[in-house]
Amino acid sequence: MWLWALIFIITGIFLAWIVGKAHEYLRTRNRESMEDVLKFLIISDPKMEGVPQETVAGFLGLSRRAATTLINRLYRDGLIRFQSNRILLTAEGRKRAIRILRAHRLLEYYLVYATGLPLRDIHRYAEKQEHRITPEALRDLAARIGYPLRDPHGDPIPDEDGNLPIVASGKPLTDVSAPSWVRVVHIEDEPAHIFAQIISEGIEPYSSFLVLENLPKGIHIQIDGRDIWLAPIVANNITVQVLSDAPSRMEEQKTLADVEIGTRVRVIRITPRIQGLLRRRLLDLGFTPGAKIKPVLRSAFGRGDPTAYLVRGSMIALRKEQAREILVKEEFNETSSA
Amino acid sequence: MKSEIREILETADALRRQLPEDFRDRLVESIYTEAESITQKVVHVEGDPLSWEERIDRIVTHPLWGLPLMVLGLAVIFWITIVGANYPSELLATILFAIEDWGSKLFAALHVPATLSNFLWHGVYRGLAWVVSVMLPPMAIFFPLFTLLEDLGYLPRVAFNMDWLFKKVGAHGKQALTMAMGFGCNAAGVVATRIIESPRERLIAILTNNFVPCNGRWPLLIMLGSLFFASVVPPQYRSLAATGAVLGAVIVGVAFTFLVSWFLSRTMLRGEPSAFTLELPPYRRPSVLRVLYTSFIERTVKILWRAVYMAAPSGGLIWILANVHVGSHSLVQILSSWLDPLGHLIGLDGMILLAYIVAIPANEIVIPTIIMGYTGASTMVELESLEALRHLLVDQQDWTLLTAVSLMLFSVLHNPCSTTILTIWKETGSKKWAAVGTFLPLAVAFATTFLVATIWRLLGGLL
Repeated sequence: MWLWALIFIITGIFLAWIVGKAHEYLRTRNRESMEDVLKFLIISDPKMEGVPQETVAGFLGLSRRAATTLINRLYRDGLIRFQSNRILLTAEGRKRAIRILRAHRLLEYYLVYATGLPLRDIHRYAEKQEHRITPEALRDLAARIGYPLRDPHGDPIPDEDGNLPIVASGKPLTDVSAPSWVRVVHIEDEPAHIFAQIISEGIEPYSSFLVLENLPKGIHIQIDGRDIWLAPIVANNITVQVLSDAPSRMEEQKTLADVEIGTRVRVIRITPRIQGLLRRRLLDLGFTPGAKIKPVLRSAFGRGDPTAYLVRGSMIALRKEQAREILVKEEFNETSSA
Repeated sequence: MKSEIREILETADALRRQLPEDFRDRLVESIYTEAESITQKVVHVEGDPLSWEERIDRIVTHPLWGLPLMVLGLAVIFWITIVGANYPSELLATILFAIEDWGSKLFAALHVPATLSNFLWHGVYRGLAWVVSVMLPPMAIFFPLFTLLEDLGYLPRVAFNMDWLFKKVGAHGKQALTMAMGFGCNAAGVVATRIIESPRERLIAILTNNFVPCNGRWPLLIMLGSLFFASVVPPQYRSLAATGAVLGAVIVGVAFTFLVSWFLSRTMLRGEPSAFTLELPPYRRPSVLRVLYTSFIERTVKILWRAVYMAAPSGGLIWILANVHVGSHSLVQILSSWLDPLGHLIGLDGMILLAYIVAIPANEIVIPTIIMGYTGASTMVELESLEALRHLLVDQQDWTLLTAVSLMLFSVLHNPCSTTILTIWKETGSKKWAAVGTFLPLAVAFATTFLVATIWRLLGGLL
C-alpha cells in the first residue's frame, strides 16, 4: 500500500517535471522565433516603410496559420504595429531587435577573431547564442573584444542605444569598372552556398584585390597573385569599395612569409584580414608600419613554419598564416648583416 | 554631475565611431616612433649582443640535435626527480608515520574511544601523511628544475620546435610547455595553459593535459615496469626493460594527447589554429631566489595544500570502507566484488577499480589501497620488498602481463584527480568543461583498455 503510494507520487513528480521541461522548451522556441522576426524586420526594412505580412511568413518558412499566431503575439506584446496591412516595428520592438542584432554581430566577431572558428560556421552558432546571451554577458564580451564597429561580414554593429557606426559604403562588384583596385566591405551570407563559394576562393571581408575585366559572362580578378573568374551572380553578393590609390598597390604582393632568412625588410602594413585581438597583439609586439624586420630562425621540423623574426630587438615567432598577412618591402639600401 | 559624465561618454563614443578603421594601427605606430627616437638618443649598442644567442638557438632548434636535446633534458629532469625524491620520501614517511603511532597512543592514554581514534589516526591522518610523503619530495625537486629551464629561456624554444606537430592537430605550440609541466602535476599544467592566448587552443590544452602522467602516477608505472617487464628479460637488461615500459606508457599518453587534441579541434572545439605569436626571450642567467619562490610558493605549496584538502577525507573514507562490515565481509570486499565484472572486462579487477574510485583525490594512494584490499588489512599498507609484492599480486591475485598493461594504460588515460578537476573548473569558469575534462579521459581509458583486453584474450585463445 505504502509502496504503491510512493511509486505513484514519484511518477507524478516525474511527469510534472517532464511537462514543465516541455513547456519551457516550447516557450523558448517561441521567444526565439519572435526575436528572429524582429531581427528580420530591422534588417530588411531600414527605412521603416513596413513589410507585407506574406514576406514575414515566407522568411520564417512557416505555415500561414503559425505565422499569424506569431505575428499576433508580437502585436499583443506591443513590439510591432500595423499600417495598411504592412508590419512596422514599434519603438519597443526596435529596441529588442537592435539588441538581438547587436548580439548576433558581436558574437560573430568574437567567434571569428577570438576563437578562429571558420567564417562559414559562425552564422549557425551566432543564430543560436544571440537569443541566450544576457545583456551583462554581452556588455562584457563587447568590452573584451574592444568594441568593434563591424562584424566579420562587414556589417555595422549597433551600440546599446541602436546607433549604427558610419562605415564606408560600397557598391556591388558587378558595378565596378575595370581595371581598378578594390576592397571588400561586405559579403552577403545568404544564400549559404554562394557565400561558401566566395569564402573558398579566398575572398573575405576586408581583403583587397584587382579587378582586371568586367564582362557579362563574369568578372576577372587577381587576389594574392591568383587569377579568378567570378560568375555575375556570385560577384553581385560582394560589396566593394574602390580604393583611389590603385597603381601603387601592385608592388605590395610580397609578404613576410616570402622573405629569406637574414634579409632585412620594412613593414608596409598588416592586411585588414587580421582583426581583433590578434591584430592588436601583432601591433603591440612591434609589427607596425615602418618597423624593420629580419627573419632569423626557421623551424627545422615544420619546414619554416613557424619562423622567428627579429623585430625591434626581440625575437618573435609567427606561423605562416600570420606572416602571410604582413605586407613588406625589401630594404635595398642596407646590407643584410646586423 | 552624472548627466555631464554621460554627455562626455556619449560624445566620446560618437567620435570613436568616426575614426578611420586603421586608427589603432596609426596610434601604435606613433607610440613606437616616439619610443624609437628616444632610444636612439639615449641608448648605445656596442658590438652585436645577439650573436652568441643566435648560435645557441641554431643548436637547440637544429633538425638533428634539437629533438634529442629536448628528450635528454626532460629525461635528466625526471631521473633527478625520481632518484632524488626517494630518500626524502622515506624520511618524511618515517617521521609522519611515527607521529601517527604517537598520536594514536596519546589518544589511547586519554581514553578516546578506539573507533574514533583509529578513524582519525589510521584513516584520515594516514591518508594525509601518505599523500604528503609521496607527493612533496618529487614536486619540490621537479618544479625548481622546471622553473629553472623556464627562466633560462629554453622552454619557448621547445614550443618553437614542437609547434609543427601541434599545428597539425589544431593546437598551439605552447601546449608542449603545459604538457611538460603536467609531468610534474596536471593541476599545475592546467594553470600553466594561461600562456596560450587564444581561448580555443587553451581549452584543448586544458582538456588533454591529463594524458601526460603526473608525479603521482610515476610510482605505479615504475612498480609495474619493474615487476612485470623487467622480470621477463635477462638480469642485465632489467633496468632497461623497466625504463622502456615506463617510457612506453609516457609515449602512449603523449600520442593520446595529440589524438584527442585532433579530435577536439574537429568536433567540440572546431576552428582554425588562430593567433599564434610566440616570444623567444633572450637567454639569461636565472635568478635563484625567484626560481625558488615561484616553484615553492606558487606551485608546490599551493598544489600540496589542495591535495591535503582532498586526501584527508579520502583517507577517512578508505578507513570506513575497510572497517565497516556487513555480515562477515567488509565494505571493501563487497564493493570490489560488485565491480569485478566491469574490471574483468577491461583487463583489471574490482579491487583496482575501487582503488581508483577512492583515489580520485590523489593517485598516490592507489597502490596502498589495492594492497590493503588484497591483504584484508584495516588500513592502507605498503609491502617492504618488491618480492613480497610480486608474491601477493602474481601468485595470490593472479595478475598477468595483461593486468599490468591494462593498469598502465588505465593509469595514464583515466580521469584526472579531483584537484585537477577543480582547477579545470576554476580556470575555465565552467562546470561543463570540468565535466568534459573528467569524463572524456575516463571514456578514452575504458574504451582503450577494453579493446586491448578483448584483442589480447582473442589472440590468447587463438595461439
